[in-house]
Amino acid sequence: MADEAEGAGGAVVVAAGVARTYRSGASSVVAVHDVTCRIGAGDRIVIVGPSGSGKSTLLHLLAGLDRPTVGTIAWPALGGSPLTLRPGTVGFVFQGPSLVPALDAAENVALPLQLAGVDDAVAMAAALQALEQLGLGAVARQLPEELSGGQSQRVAVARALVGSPRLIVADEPTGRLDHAAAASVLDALDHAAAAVGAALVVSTHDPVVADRFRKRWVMADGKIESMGVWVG
Amino acid sequence: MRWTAALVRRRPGRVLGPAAGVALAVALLGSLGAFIASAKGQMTVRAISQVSVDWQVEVQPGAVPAATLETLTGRAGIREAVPVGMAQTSGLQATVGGTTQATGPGVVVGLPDGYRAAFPRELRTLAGSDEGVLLAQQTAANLHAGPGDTVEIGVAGGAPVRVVVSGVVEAPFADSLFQVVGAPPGSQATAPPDNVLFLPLATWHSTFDPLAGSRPDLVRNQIHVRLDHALPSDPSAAFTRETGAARRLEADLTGSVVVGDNLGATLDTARKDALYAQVLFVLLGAPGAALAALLARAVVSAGRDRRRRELALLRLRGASRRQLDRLALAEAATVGVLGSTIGLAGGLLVGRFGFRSGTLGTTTLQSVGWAAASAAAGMLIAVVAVGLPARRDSGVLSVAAARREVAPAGRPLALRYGVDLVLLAAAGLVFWATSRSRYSVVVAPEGVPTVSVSYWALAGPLLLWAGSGLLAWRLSDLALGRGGRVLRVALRPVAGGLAAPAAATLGRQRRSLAGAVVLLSLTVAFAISTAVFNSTYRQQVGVDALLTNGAPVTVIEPPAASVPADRAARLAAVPGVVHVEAMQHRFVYVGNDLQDLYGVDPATIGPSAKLQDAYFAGGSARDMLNRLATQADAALVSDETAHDFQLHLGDRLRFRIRDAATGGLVEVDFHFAGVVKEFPTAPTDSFVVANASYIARQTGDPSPGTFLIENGSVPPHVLADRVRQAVGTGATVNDIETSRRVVGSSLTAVDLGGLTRVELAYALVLAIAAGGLVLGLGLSQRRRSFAIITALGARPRQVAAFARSEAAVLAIFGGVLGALGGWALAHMLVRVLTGVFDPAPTRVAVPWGYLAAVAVTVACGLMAATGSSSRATRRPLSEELRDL
Repeated sequence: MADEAEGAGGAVVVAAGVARTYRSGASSVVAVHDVTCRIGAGDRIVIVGPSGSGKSTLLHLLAGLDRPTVGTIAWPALGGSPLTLRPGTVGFVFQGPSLVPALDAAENVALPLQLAGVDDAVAMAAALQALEQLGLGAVARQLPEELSGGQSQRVAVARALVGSPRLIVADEPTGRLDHAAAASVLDALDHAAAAVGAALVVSTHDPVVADRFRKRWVMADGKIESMGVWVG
Repeated sequence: MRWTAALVRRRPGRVLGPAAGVALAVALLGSLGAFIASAKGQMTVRAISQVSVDWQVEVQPGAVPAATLETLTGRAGIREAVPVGMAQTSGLQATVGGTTQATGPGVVVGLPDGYRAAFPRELRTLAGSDEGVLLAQQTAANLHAGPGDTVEIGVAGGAPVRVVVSGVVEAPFADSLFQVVGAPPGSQATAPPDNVLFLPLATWHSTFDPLAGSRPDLVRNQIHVRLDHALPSDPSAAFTRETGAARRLEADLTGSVVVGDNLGATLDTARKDALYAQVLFVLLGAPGAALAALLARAVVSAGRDRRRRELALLRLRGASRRQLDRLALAEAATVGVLGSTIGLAGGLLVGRFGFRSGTLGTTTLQSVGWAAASAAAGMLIAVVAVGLPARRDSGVLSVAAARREVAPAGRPLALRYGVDLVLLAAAGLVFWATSRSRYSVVVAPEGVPTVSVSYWALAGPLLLWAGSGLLAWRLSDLALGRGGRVLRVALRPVAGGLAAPAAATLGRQRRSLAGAVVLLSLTVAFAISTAVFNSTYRQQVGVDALLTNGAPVTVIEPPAASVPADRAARLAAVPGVVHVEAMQHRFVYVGNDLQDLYGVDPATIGPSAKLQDAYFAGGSARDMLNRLATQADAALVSDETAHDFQLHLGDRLRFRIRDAATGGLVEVDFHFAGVVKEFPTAPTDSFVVANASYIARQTGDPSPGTFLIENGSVPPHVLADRVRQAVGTGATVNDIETSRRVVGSSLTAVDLGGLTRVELAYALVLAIAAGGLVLGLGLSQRRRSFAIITALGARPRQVAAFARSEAAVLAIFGGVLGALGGWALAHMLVRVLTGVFDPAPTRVAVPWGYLAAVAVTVACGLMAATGSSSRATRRPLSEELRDL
């Protein structure tokens, strides 16, 4: 991954002393604890660690999909905006199939824009353009169930990128793909992030994927054990 | 077993949900069984209570009456047997107040001492003594005679016999009392004799014994019998046992008697009514049970994704198809047993509180049979709703395929082959075939032991119901599949800027949505048709009672009584009386036939007596009253009279009516103005309705004989007591509540209140389930989509826009199409079941209050389901995503 611009801009996300605990009846599980980190504009970060180490939870927290039970998270470059994935702020690529099954590829990509109040026609034009850029123009009118795993994940990438976000978060985007498809998805993410100068954070436990990133955070038992580059 | 136990422990909802649907169906079937048991029991009790003399055993020529009486008295099952004589008189004559009146031939009845005590309802004393020489009411009017007057009895070939009248009586059961015993059905006299005199049996013997020798054809000996009434509660079984006993008596006495079986004739009618009750069960119960089955199916479908994933995992871990089938069967059996048990208990409870019936049948065997049948229906529903889908799902090989959320494209077979249109066309054809001429759903030929129901006719409403449900499927499928642009515009008010994705979502989920539309439309149609039918039924019960009684309270003056001129004014002054309508009641000779004549004021009688169009032929009630109002000498006569005399509108009629001044009969001209079939307080056979003012002018007697009293808010029986105090003992005061209990040769006499409550409550529960539960379950299936949409930045109200759109489509298609189907179905039901109504309704009654409650219930259910889906999206997203 190209890291020329990493850390060059201002902070996109700043987390301080963050912890997330899940409660189920009397028992509780600490998924993430004692995390302090900073992600700058243009950063390319990969988070690695075994299953259950807290990668997904940390990504949800960084993307604003979840709230920490302890500590604070701020998004200075996004206007300090609260939990939201509005276009222009955060784009998230989920771990599993995340397309709305009843909408075709173009409608799935247009949906975040429509949720943000963008006119239907404008949203659809932007969605088709995003799909074209990812080489998916031919499947724009196909339903998710008609797409291959790689195509689905690239449509999800297109949906994450359609609003030109400042922060792109991808939770094991290649976990269910073969190497060729995985490479294609990662290329798409990389190019899109570079095009808009967004920060890119990817989690994986695939060493091949991890090797594409120079900045590497290693997680174990809910904590970041090491960071390739310390952001203080 | 382990799997089933784990299922109940870990996934109670997966078992309890469908079990609730099964329980609903079994409870409905069980409670309807209780209704039928209760209704049949009521009908038998009613039939027995309606009969005064159970058997009129006629001693045949050559047999000895005294010996026959002795045989009967000792016979098992006979509680009382008394001898009665009947003889033809050549005529009766009385000289009262200096004028002599004579009648044509009549009947003189000899009654032994104690007859009135043995059969207390056979005669009702209107004036004078209960015992001695009694004149029938109409005869007293003809002769102008009363207690203390002397009447001369003409005896064929002998000297007349003079007797002194002790009292005037009415014979409420005259039709059966004067029947021709042993005559085949249809050859009975159309009306009882006009002239009747009752004598003490000793006097009767001294008068007519000589005649018995010379003219045995004019003298008959009967033995009136009261049975012990230990009969089965099912009218059909009671009829069979009772008529069997009558036939056995005839056989045992080797032709020396013929039994006039009054109780058997009444039970004959009751068994026909019992069959109508059964018909009601089929028409109201079957759709309800089918709906509950569909509901159970919908509940099962909601958990289908999870079950498919579990089964696919089991297959991947080596479970064979046969093992999975056994698991499916075990799950269905658990649901069936649980649902049936709860349903039977519910049915018994509903029966106890709704119909006051503690059992599901009239006998133990029937109860057990009915319970078994209801439980079997429950098991069948469980197998169809739970077992079959589970078996199909066990064939899914991969977890990925099991996750499929969008139903496969393509229209279902039923729509592809136009089954809905075929069903609707078939319903139309059946309806056309069964509604023309005088088609009857229940056929019970008089005197024939077998009765039958034309279930063929019932196919019409059932086909219409099923066809309308499938049509709702076709229309919603069409609109959601091809009406994208229109749908987007239509959804804008509920979905705002998300109308386009909402419409796209609905279009692609139309298969599952159409299922919910069908269920809701069928439920709404069921609720509307049931409610309208029940409401019309109640309306006609009221009309029937009103027809019999004439008004909430009726005052009938005795014949030949001098009614005070201020009677109407005094009645109007009784507290609680809203309006008093005076009506003349006379007797008139139409040819040689003596008929009742009602003199009315056409300007006021319509609203006062609540005249129905169905009472008249060839015009509405308003038309007929207009004819009376515009022509003073207009007269409405019965269909039979118009037919016998070949009358045409405007024909001159000449009737003989008693003149007030001379006491003799005078000829009065009328003009035929129309046919009247029924009229308040009038008998069921022939009668005449004319202008009171014209009758008063022609006879010199304006005095009314009947007063129809409107009650306002005071209960009729309370007002009747007040009116009795005002008029004294001279007049008879009847109230509609008592009439309602007494009248009834048809099903309208059966209290359907309990059934109505259960049906309507059941329809409401189904409406909630079909609206809210089904939508809620559908939305819960889309939790994954909603979670994704939320993760993309949707606010709760935006997620709710998707749910609201679905609710709106469901409400519009299911509600509107269901309402249209229900309206058509209600009309068809009322038409097909015309025999249930007496008289036939001229229009259906719409219970707007209940229908509004159904609409509100459905709307609340939909809103609650929509609300719960948006609440679900307020959970922390990571938890929601983790659960998916």
